[in-house]
Amino acid sequence: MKIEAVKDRTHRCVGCSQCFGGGGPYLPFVDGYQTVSKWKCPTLEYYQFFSHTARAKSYFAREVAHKKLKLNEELEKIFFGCPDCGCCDHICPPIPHMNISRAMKGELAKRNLVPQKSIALNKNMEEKKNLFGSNNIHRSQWAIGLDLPKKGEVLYFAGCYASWRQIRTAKAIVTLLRDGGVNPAFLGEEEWCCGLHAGFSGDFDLEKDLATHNIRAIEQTGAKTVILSCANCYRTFYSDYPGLVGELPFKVIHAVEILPELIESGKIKLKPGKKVRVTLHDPCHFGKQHIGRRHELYDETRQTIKDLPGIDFTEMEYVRRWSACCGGGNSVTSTNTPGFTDFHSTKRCREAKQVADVLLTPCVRCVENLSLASRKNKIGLEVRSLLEFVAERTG
Amino acid sequence: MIAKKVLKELEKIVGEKHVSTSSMDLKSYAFVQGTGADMIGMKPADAVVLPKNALEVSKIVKLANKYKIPIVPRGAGTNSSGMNVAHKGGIVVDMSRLCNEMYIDEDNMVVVAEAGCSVYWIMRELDKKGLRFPFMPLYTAAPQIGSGVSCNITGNYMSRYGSMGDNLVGLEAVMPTGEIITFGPGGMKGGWGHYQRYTGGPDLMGLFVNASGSMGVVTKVAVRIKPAPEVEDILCYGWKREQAKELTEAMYWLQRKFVYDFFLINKWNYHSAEADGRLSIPKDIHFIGVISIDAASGQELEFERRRVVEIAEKNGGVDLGELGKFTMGPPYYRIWLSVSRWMQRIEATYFWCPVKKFPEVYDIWEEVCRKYRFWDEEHCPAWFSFHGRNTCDPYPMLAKANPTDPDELARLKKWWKELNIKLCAAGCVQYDLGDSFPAQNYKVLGPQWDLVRRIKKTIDPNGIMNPSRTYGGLQ
Repeated sequence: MKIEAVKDRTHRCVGCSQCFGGGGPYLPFVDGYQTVSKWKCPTLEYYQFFSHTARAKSYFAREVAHKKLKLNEELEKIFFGCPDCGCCDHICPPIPHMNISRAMKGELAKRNLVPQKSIALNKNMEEKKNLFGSNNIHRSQWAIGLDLPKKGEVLYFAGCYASWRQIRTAKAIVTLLRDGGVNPAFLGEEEWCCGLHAGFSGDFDLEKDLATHNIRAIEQTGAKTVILSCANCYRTFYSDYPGLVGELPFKVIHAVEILPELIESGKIKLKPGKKVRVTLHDPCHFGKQHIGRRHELYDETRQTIKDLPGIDFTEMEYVRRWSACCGGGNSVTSTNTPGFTDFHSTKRCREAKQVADVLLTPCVRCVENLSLASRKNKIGLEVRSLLEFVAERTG
Repeated sequence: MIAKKVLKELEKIVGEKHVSTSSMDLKSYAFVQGTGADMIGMKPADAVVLPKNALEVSKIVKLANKYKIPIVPRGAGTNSSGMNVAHKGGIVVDMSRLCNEMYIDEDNMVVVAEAGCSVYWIMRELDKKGLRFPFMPLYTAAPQIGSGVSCNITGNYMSRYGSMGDNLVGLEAVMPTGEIITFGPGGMKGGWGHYQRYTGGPDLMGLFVNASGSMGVVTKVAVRIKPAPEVEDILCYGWKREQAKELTEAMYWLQRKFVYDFFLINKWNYHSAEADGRLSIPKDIHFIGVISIDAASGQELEFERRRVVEIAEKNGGVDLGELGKFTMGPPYYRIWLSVSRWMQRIEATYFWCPVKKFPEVYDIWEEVCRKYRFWDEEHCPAWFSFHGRNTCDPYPMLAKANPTDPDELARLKKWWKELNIKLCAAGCVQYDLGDSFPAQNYKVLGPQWDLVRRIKKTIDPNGIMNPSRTYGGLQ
């Protein structure tokens, strides 16, 4: 994504200020008046100054594209300090805010104006093929004993988080798939990081290299369908890869897309659990972030939860496309603004605690950020991976 | 450049994290809605501060007085005339944090809100109770109620109820001296509730309406509200370009009969929707009038409909059926579906003119656009006007201009200046009168403007409050 690609469209911003809210957003292209009554851009809410609005960023991009503004460290902080949750993109389709952000990060990266921690993460991906800098041999440790095949029509792509930090989620998805009659293939060490962070930090070549490898490796397994349990990987496969390497030779789905059907058909047998009050956090990757490829997975997750016995499900006020950012989008946590993550993850946990004792989310990153906030601030909210939670209730 | 010791004092008032001198922060406060910045020019402030209440605003103003530093209050930055830009440097006071207090007083049918509250948020809250602002401010989620007063925002449904200024019943402002004064009934014992603006003396609130913060910083407002209509509908009629006089006659009678709203648009607004095949407008139709009607019952609505049809048809209007609902039926402003495809608009100007002047004014618009080669599809000279009780409030623009082309920018600047001068000579009154507008625009106001200047000098002797509102070169 180059700045030239978005140059003309930055002019379309008239500065109406819809993109950063304050009141209820009006969505002429989506659902008109039926939105929340008050919403504010999470980036503006935290940083407070106008330079952090999508409107200002679009203006900066325009000035950079026309060589009226030089790239500088302040712009680095502005563009890398935003979680790219995608709300502005939803609110204002005439302006490709997410693409503008991506293009500007590409320009900043060319001039090494990238947060140091972000460079370190990219180095991990480039050298070790995973986000954490661990030897990629360890990637398949979670699957020891599961005897997953190397080839098959359905493949499970676990991603870095489930492979290292949340292996219970990876195991849970295999259990659920097997209960549903599917024994998924697995790439093992041939699975590389999806490259989301590389794209977020403007290193599109690295993201493309990782994409090319993953797609080739998947093709060799003969897979026709790739199932993902990570919302980050899902966004990368579904939205970024086609832009980098063309249409994919296999179908990409998130596990939550098949759960309602498996439950309804009785292939997954649910067992009674103790009564628990739950709510759901929609990750940005499940809708808002799919640039130009609007694809929302909001109903599937809700259907799955409602099917579970003993569940008292209550919605929070800010859900679906108005779901607040967990605070960790765009790897903001690991780059230059950890305060941003604390602010939003804590706020989100407090919102959830008002209606529930357990917060479920299908995103591994959201689980990590939100559970940390809950523990740190003694909010008393249990944050769980949705897939793991479902797997525990099958018998 | 603001001295370090002043910055330190500002930090003491609002907290360190609410003061910025970052060049990108300052730049982001230096451009206006539309690409008007290309014409108006930009001058970043020296600092931006984010106070959280009227008391902090007061301290900032006192400090600015002490050091004679200009102050420019700012809401969401959607004013298109550059009145929210620090043309003369100084401190931009971003009012966004004053957004905590808002209550709907149904007993007295007013809404009271801190200046930074979003107009849309208030509208949504009113909607939940079956209430509305009497008029429909034409903006989006971010614009704030305080700046709505400071800029006297307009919008649909003005034909019967007027603009923000007409519906204001009370306000709190920080004066140029730093004193906090509550105006209107809000200042009386008993609070904000009394539904009466003109209590106890002259209407001092008017000093703050459309003053862009030059007379003081508005920190809280009380605005009239009304019940939503029981039933409402939208009618739509078209007129040819050569029927401007008949259209004017129709507009006059509709407004005289207190129609709920009359909204006038020219064909260019629909250009992209037509190009996309989303609608089709008869080829010879140039003006489209969208007429909103309301009533207490279906029977009454039918009577109202017949009355509108009679006026429109008697004056040569052609029924355009559902086009009106496409244009502005709920959820409002669908017109933007039409123009937003390009959105690269250049605001020409905002102004008021008597309804009867419309044919002459529109001729000027076409003549000047033609002269500078903007009367074509490539530039899309879109016109839309709200209609007040006996006025026309046009927002003409070029929806597709390209200010990044130096040749076009040069033409745009000449076009903009000539248009403003000619409209002014025809008796139109500019919406905002800053030093970016030609001098003729304020001179036409005569002695009343002189009085405003004297008042300004009396209450703001150091001339610190938004000095780009020069009042004819006062500062």
